[in-house]
Amino acid sequence: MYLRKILVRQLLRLYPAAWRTEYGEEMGSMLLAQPLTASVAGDVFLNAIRQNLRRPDPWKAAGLFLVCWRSFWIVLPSVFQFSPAAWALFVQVDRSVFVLVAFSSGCWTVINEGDVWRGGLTGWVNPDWRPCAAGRCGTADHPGPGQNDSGLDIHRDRPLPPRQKPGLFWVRFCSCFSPQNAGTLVRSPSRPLGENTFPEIRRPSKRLMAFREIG
Amino acid sequence: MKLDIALFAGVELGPGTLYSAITRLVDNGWIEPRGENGRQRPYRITMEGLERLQTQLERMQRLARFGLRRLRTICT
Repeated sequence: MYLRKILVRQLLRLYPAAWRTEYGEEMGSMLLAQPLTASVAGDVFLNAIRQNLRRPDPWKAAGLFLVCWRSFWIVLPSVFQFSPAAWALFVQVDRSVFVLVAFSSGCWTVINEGDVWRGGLTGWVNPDWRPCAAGRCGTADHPGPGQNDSGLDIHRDRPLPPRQKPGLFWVRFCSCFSPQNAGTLVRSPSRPLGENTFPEIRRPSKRLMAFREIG
Repeated sequence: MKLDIALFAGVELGPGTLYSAITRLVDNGWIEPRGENGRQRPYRITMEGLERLQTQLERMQRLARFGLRRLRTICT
C-alpha cells in the first residue's frame, strides 16, 4: 500500500503544478481505489504529457524554449559558416535571450503561482545572471567569475564561492545549454576542434594542460 | 463516474483519460465543479454545456438515422 502511494504520488507529479492543485487529490484517491496496472499507469503517463503540452508550467515552457533555441544554434553552424563578428553578435543576443526568458519565467512563476522557490530557481538557471546579480559581470575580453583556472575571482582576487547545484532535473538540464557551458556543445566551424568557440571561454581542459606541460 | 460511463457508453475510461476529458469540459465551460464532497468532487452541467450537448446529440441522431436509412437501402 505504501509503495502504491509512492507510485501514485510520482505519477501525479508528472502533471503540471496548476493541474495537480485542481484535480490531483481526487485523481489520487481514484488511483488508490483501483488496482494500479501497467495500462492504468500508461494511461496516466500519456495524459500527463498531453496536459503538459496543453497547459505547461512556465518554467517548463521556458526550459523547452531555451533547449530549442540552443539546439537551433548547434545545428545552424554545421550548415552555414559564420564570421567572428557574427558570432560575437550571436553571443550578445544569446545572453540577452537567456537572461530575458529565465527572468520573465521566474517572475511569472512567482507572481501567478506564488511559487517563490521554483520561480527563484528558474531565474537562477542562467549562469550569466548570477555574476550580474552579484555585480560582477564578465565581459568578452575579461572572463567572468568561475571561468579562470586559478579558482580566484579575477576582479577581486578572492576565492570563488562554490558553484550552486540546483536540485531539479530540468534546471540542471537547461543549465547545460546555457551560454556559459555552450563551448562544450557548440564549436565554430572556422576553428579547429579542441579550441573554444566563444572568445570569453578560455578554460583549457586538465588533460590539455598536462599535454602542454609535457610538450 | 467511471462505472456510469461504462454502463451507458460501454467504454471503460482510464483515470488519465477521464480527467483529461473533465479538464477539457471545465476549460470550455460546459461543466463546473459543485463544491467538495469529501475527496470526490461532483460536477454540474452548465447552460452552455446543455446547449452543446443537445446540438451534439441531435447531430448524432441525424447521423444515425441517415446511416440506418443507407444501410436499409443497401440490404434491400
